[in-house]
Amino acid sequence: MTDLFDKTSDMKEQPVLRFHEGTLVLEGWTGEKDPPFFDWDPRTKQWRTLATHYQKILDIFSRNRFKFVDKACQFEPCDFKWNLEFDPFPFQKEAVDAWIRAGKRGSIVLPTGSGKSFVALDVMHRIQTSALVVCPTLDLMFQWYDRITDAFAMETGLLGGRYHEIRSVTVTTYDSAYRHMDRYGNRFGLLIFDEIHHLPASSYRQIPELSLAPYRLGLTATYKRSDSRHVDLNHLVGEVVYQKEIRDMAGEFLADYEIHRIRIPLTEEEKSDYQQRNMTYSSYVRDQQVRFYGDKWKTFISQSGYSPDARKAMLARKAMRHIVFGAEKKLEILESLLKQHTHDRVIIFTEDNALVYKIAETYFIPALTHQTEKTERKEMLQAFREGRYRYLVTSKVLNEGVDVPEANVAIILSGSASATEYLQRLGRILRKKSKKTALLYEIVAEGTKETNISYRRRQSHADE
Amino acid sequence: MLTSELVRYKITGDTISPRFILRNRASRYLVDCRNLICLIRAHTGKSQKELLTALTDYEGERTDFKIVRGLSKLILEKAEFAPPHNIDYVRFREQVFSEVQSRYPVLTRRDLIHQKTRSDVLKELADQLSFSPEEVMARLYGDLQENQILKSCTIEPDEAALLKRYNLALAQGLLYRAQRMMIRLRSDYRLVFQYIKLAGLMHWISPMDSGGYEIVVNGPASLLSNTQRYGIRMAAFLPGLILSNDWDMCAEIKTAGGVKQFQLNHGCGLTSHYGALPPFDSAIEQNFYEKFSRKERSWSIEREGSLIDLGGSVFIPDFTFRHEDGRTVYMEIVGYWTPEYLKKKIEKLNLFQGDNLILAVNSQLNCGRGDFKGKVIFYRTGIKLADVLAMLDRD
Repeated sequence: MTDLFDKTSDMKEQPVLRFHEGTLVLEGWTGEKDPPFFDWDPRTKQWRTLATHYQKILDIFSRNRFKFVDKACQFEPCDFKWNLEFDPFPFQKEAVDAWIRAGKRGSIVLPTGSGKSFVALDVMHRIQTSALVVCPTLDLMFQWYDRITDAFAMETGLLGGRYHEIRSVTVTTYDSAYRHMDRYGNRFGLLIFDEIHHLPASSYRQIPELSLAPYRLGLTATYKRSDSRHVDLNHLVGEVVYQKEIRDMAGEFLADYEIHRIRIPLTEEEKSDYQQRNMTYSSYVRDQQVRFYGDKWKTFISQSGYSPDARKAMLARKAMRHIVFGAEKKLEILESLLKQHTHDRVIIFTEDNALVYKIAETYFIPALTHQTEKTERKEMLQAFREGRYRYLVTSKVLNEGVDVPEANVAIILSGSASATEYLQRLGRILRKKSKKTALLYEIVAEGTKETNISYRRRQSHADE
Repeated sequence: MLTSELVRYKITGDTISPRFILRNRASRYLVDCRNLICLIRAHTGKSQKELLTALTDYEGERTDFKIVRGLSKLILEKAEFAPPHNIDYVRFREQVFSEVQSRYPVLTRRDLIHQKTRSDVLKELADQLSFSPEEVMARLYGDLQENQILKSCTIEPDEAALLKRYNLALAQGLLYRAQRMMIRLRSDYRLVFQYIKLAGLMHWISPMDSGGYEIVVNGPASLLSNTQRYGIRMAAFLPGLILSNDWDMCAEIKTAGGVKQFQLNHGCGLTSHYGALPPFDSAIEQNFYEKFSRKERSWSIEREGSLIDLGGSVFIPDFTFRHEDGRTVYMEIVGYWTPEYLKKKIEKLNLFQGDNLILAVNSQLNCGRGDFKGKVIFYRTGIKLADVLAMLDRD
């Protein structure tokens, strides 16, 4: 035993460990040496450390039989009972076992559509402590909310959007968790990060740092970040404990799919409008050697705040995107695809919200966006699952992991250059529900910048 | 406050500063302020979409669009929007979409097989729901943000006030990315500390040789890592600091090009919309101060002239007496009373270790000499000057 700890403290008042706004404070420390993991805070004249060290502190205190009063921890034991039949795929069980063996920390990497949320539910069921699920968007937050309430028939809290309701199981977004973790960091024993590749951002990483949770789980289909900051996840959440590629699974657990790419020309009117704007835009881009990434792009953005030419180029670019996203022929193609698939379950993706509502109002297709309220959204998805609604049109909402297992046709009406996004959109219709081969249509405007985006997307898909 | 992309600033070397709209350019933007206030007022009763289109048109190809957007953001800070119809939109949509399922595909053009078009389908839906086709379309997504109607909006009283508010918002916006704030404060301690506390910030105080105090402000986790998470709190605190008459401030702002310094002082011309404390806490305090300062003495009296660091909180005595020979004595009046307040106050005062504190305690309070350490005088209706002078001269 070390002499780090003052054993006589048994006789006196015991030191108290408290949670204070995402940090741990140790009061009444009488040891000769500094308490491990703590720093002296001269502002409040207390020992202080980040909440994330909680488990390590408990371990070292108990190893040294050091007595203290724990006023920090406010985890609640939970009684998760399956409300539905849960029959995991072997790989789902393997994944959870691997996570438990690794000390109940770390990430599980599985392709979109392979039922990552079941892995998370199983983890909650095995750990039986209060849990916080963190996900990137409000829509995913609602999706998780539905999932958890269905799985365990229990009241689930929501933190984000218009909701601020903390319960022993709560779902939140990265943004809200970042904002509120200093308040609730002592309430949850288990943290689950959905789409964990978002976490290493400089602000979001404070979510695990300001939390006491000893148990941490990350989920994603695309673990690696181009900036290599996924390495930081090792100490924030734990290492990758289980990984399975899409090629290991297609046909086995996931449906087959076909991709059809349809190129459409712009109308004469759109074309001339597009070309005119393109002249303004391209000449500026050429003269100023604008690049679409990094500093050059940032310079362009900031220049549009004082240079009239840059501002015009920026507005031209915006107008061009608008023309391409809303290209008339795209709707014509959409119309003919809808005609072909009257008996299928079709989900339509578009990039911008305005187009979602245009399609909804033109073809009377229920629209799902971030503006859709939680109860309506739940009813809509339910109606789609039961076949009462056959079509859905949505913006980016369903991009990351939101599943609609019954869809067997997906139509992408506009796209952006992100590889992650493309993969995840693909995953959406790969759910193992339908015996049929799933169909994916991508509608791209010809002779515009969008073709390049689509090409780039395919390339990076091929690289995976 | 502004969203961070609307915050305009410039970086020169190691310093960062907001691009305030100053006197030389103010007249031009006062016109914008006036126009925008009019434009937004004129859109009361219209949809958000119409309002946003009008604002985009107003902005046009101007390169200073960030200023225009910032000003309208501040005008719309408390705007209220509401849906145009008094119906349950969700139920209405459910009816429409359930009705339409058996009528798919909905087509805009007739073909050989599909004779019915969209307008036929819409007509059928409208008949089912006992509305006209136009009414159905207006109600289908009437509750969408962009279709909601501007009901009211609390606008700054005039364009000059709006412009002042804008400049303050720029300074606040720069603080969103602040890691910590170093303040040199030479007056209005109580006021400033009230706002530090209100913003949930922590502080670290040291007296300066030249008088006044140097205060470092940040948050709990700042000790352990450089974080910007308290930037929002510092932004909320800034108008409180501005209320003071004598201060300067340097904040460390994280930028892509490293940490930059943002400096500001009481001469910055910014005005606060926060309320100042009443000049005296009580008539007792005021009467005593007036009585004491009526005559030239070897002791001078200052109101709230000192800060005493108690670790985690500060103690700002009501009065500081300074003798010509350099001695300093503090006086605190304990006149207010609820049991909790009194308990807290006693605890706080007992933390104070010095022997140069006089407590003037209301004799009607439920406490006695034994509750306090140090020098105590009791008073009933007013503090007796003679009692205090006697106590001061006892040393």
